[in-house]
This record gives sequence, C-alpha cells and structure tokens, in this order.
Amino acid sequence: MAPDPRGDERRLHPFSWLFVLITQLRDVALPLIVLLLFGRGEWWEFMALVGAVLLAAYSLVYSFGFRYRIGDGELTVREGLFDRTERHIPFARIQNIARRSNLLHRVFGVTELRLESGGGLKPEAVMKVLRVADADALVALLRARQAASVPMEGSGADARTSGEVLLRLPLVELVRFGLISNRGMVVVAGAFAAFWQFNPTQPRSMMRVPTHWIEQLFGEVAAHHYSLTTMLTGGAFVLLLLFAALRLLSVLLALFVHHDFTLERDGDRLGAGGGLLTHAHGSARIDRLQMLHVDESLLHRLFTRMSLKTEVAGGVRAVNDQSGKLHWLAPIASPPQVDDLLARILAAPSLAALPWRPLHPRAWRRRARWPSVFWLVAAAVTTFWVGAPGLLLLLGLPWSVVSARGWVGFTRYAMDARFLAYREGWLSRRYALIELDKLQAVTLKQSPFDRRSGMASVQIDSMAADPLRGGIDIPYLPVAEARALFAVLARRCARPG
Amino acid sequence: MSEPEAVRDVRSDHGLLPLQPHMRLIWTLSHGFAWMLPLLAVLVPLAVKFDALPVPVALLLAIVLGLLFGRHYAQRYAALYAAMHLADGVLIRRGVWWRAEIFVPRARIQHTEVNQGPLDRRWDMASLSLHTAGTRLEHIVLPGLPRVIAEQLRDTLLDRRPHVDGA
Repeated sequence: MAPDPRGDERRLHPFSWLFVLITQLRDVALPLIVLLLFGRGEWWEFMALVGAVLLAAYSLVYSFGFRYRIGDGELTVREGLFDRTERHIPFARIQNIARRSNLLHRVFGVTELRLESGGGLKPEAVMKVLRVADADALVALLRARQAASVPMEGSGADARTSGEVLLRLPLVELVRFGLISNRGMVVVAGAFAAFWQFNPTQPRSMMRVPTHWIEQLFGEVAAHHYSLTTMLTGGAFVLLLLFAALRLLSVLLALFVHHDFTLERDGDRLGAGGGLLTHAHGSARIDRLQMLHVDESLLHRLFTRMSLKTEVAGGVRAVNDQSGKLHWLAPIASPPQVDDLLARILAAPSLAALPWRPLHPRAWRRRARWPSVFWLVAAAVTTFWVGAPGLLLLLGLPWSVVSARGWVGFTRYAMDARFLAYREGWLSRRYALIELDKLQAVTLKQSPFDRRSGMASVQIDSMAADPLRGGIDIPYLPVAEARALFAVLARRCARPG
Repeated sequence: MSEPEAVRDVRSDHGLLPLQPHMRLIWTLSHGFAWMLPLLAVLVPLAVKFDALPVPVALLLAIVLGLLFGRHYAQRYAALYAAMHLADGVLIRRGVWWRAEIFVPRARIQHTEVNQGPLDRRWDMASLSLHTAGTRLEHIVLPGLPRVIAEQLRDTLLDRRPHVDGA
C-alpha cells in the first residue's frame, strides 16, 4: 500500500500545474486563437500573450497552494490564490468518486480525482492531479473511513471485499457495441458542421474540395452514358461503402471510449469505466442511483443485446460520462446479463418477470391517428401536384396502423412493491425502471383527445433525469386505471423511504 | 363523476387553498396579451392588404378580441384551477385544454419561497414556490394566495416535526 496520508497535509503531484494550465487554456483557447489569427495589430497579440503567461503563473501558484488532509471523519481541502478557502468535507457526504486519466495523465503516471456530494452542480473537491498510487490510497482510505463512519444497512462486512466484477466487456462485445451504436455518424455530422462553419471570411471555400470531387464524379458518369442499372448498382455500392466506413469508425470509437470496460461492485458502491487513451472511471453509492434505462434498438435485437444506463443524483447536468460520471452500467450486454445486473445491483426482478399491464385497448387508434392524417394530407397534396403516383403515399396508412398496433402491443407499465417500470417501442424498444422511493412528484395528465376517449396519462419526476431522454410517462391509460395508479404512486412517494 | 375517487383518497381534511379574486384579472391580462399577438399578426396585415377596414380599427379590434378571449380563458382556467394542501403534500390541478394534476409530496419539498410582485403587494397576495429535487417539476408555483396563508404554508410545508406531520 502507498504511504498512509493520514494526519499530515499533502500536496498534489509536482506537475499538477501543467494539467491546471491545460484546463484553463482549454476554456480560453478559442478566443485566444481567434485573437491571434484575426486580431489586427500587435496589441491584441500582446494581450493574449500576457493572458497566457498570467494563466500559467496562476496554475503554478494554485496547484502548489493546494493542500489536503485526511482527518477524523472528514477530508480538509485548502485551495485558492487570493481568497484561501478551507473546506471540510465529511466522509459521509462524498457520494460519488470519479477518476479520469487521459494520455497525458498516463505519461506522467497521474490521475484526476473528483469528489462529489449529493447536491449541487460543482464537485466538492477536484484533485488535479494525484500520483496514481496516492489516488488509490486516498480512495481506499475514503471508502474505509466511510464504511466506518456510516454504518450501512448490512454492507459493513461487504465494504472490505473490494471489487466484485459484475461485468467486463471483451473486445468482441465492443465491436458489436460499435456496430450497434453508430456514433461514427454523429462524429461525421459534427465534423461536417464544423467544416461548414470554419473560415468566417470565405464560408464555403472548404466545401469546394468535396463539391469538386462530386462534380468530377458526376461528370465522369454523365460522359460515359452508363445504363440506369449500372448507375443504380454503382450508387448502391458507393452507399454501401460509405455505410461500412461509418460503421468501422463507430467500432473504432467504441474501442477508444469503452476499451476494457469494467463494472464493479465494492460494498455499497458501484464503479464503472474504461477507455483506451482517456480512462474515465465513475463511481457512486448504489442508493444514489435513480432511473435505470435499458435500450434495445433494432440493431440491438439483431445481435440479441441491450444496453443499461443509469442516472445518478448529484452533480448532474454540468458533467457528462466522459468526465468520469457513472452513466453506463453496461454499454452492451445480453438480456440475461442485464437481468443479472439488475438483480445483483438493485435486487430487482428480471424485466420479463415484472407484472406488466397493457394500455387502453383502443390506444392503437390514438397512436395511429396523427400519422394517418399526415399520410392522407401528404398523399392529397402530392397527387394534386404530380398526379396518380402521389397515391403511393397512401401506403403510409397501413404502415401507421401496423406500427401503432406493434407499439401498443409492446408498450406496458408495471408496478410491484418496490419498482415502477415502463417499456415502450415497436422495432426499437426501451425500458425505464425506478425504485418507488426515488419518485419526486407524480402528474396525471389529460389532453382534449384523452378526455374524448376516456384516457389519461401518468408521469413521474425523478432526480437527475436527463431532459433529452424519455423518462416514465405512461400514455393512453383508461381513466380509472390512471387515477388509481396516480393515487397509489402519490401515496407511495409521500412516504419517505 | 368529475370528482375522482382516487384523488379524494389522497386528499385529507386540509382541503382547498383559497384563490384571490384578483388573480382572475391577472390571468385575463396575461392570456389577453397572449391572444392579442396572433390576432394582431393576422388582422393588421389583412387590413393593409384588403383595405376592408382602417388599420387603427384593426388594432382596436385585435386588442378588444384578445381581451375578450383572454377573459373567457381566464374564467375557465380559474374555474378549473385548484390547489390543495393535504396531510402529506400539495395537489395542484390546472389547465383548460391540457389538464394536469400534480402531486408534490411534502417529504420531497426541498425549500419553499414566497414571492410578491408589485400587484401582489397592492392586493396583499403572494405566490408560493415549491422546490423539489426533481428535474421537470423542480419548481412549482402556487399563485394568488392570500399573503398570510402563503407565509403559513411556507413554514408548515417545511416543518417536519412529527406533531405537525400527524405522523
């Protein structure tokens, strides 16, 4: 074990200033670059230089001034340049510990440690950066002290059995994850957008190169007078090639982000992380987990895989999973593995074993109505403009019905003594699961359409919910059932857990 | 039939919180303005294009119609609005077309706050903000309460001593 840091004050790694500087520079890098590139006259350049030097000096003094001490029951952190602050963080308050190390960290053999409490957007302490051994020792010490100062329900003995591995992703699974996730598309779209935005003086000059290629290609094609089938096959081939390239990129990204992904349980804590160059590791107490999300897209189902994510209370929206927030529990796992994880983490029943209840029997009509109206209007307008071929759009009508029936066939909600669960989808599906003790508020909603067809929806609110993800919003329930569910949930969440 | 069994179940003897009558005026004005803008956007260009009526008349028409619609909507809104202080939380029923009943458990209220605008002060009323640790419903406002009741509620909702709880 590394030297016990107990009692005496400790400093950060001697090269910490470099990492502080890099973070500072990242925040001001863009304006600085813009100033240097487009600033007219030396004055701006001089100012930028002065700014950079000041930042460097600040980083140096800041990181040399940073001290921490492990006392009885609390961690004391002293930091600050002009206004020195001394913060006392009781061990019990540290809910989440996040670690992050990128390539540079690894070169110096250091890591960044972030200690978060339950509330607030800012972490309680950011230790930028510690020697890996010191970080390990500190984390071990924090855990041990935490276990000692907070008697956990039945986990006191567990707390020492370090690292029960719940899931480790082998390379094959990561390749599958890459194939399914299609992050490459996002990257390409982002790169395209950046490409377009670049060079403010000549907005489209960058685009001339690819445009030129395309023109050349089409010129060739036009000059040769290929037959329609040749052109179609060629086009399809090019598309296939692009598709394959995107998937390959996605696989590479998956390898970079989740290489050696491991999910571990250490007593009452859960830790997960991985990464090839930047290694991000997040951890949280299991009772801080909020809603769990299981995704099962069409591609997931093709590979009989699912993905499992969680939302963790505290320090929510300011950070994403790359900074070491516990977010992924399993980027990819087989359905039995997901059930196993749910059982081992939350002692939850398997997804199939939950008492699923269907929606209103006529829900599919409501679900199919607006798409049908859309296809009818689209068919009418197109037929008006181009004639009979426009009627082909009427094929959208049976499609709407089929997809609506499929959607209603799968969409269900379930509630047992401890959990509320919701699943929805047709070809692509998702599940959401939350412990009843974690509900913050309950809403019963009725739109004019709901009232006409005797339906209502029930929605719940939880901590740290991602606004971009659907939570639990159960639509198209028979009014009486919705009211009963609302009443039960209201009573359940009024009782603190 | 409109009174739901389930909600009556949740509710206890605490009952309905009063709504100051002046709140209707505030809702009339706010909804009136909301209606006025689209009416102005439609009526004024029509008046200019077709010369059917002079522009000032179109303006006046938009304002009057907007206020009329706003008044009608505000009356409906006030008739359907209800806020109840229950033994274990607060139940708010609101909305005209899209209706919602929101239950905020008392155990989940993180902090409360009484707000008074200039008009509120004039009419001795206040709105009470409830903050939870949730995401979408992190901030819920009970408008148009008599100031004294708002202040009482602010304190009682946070007081978790057993005797107040009834637990």
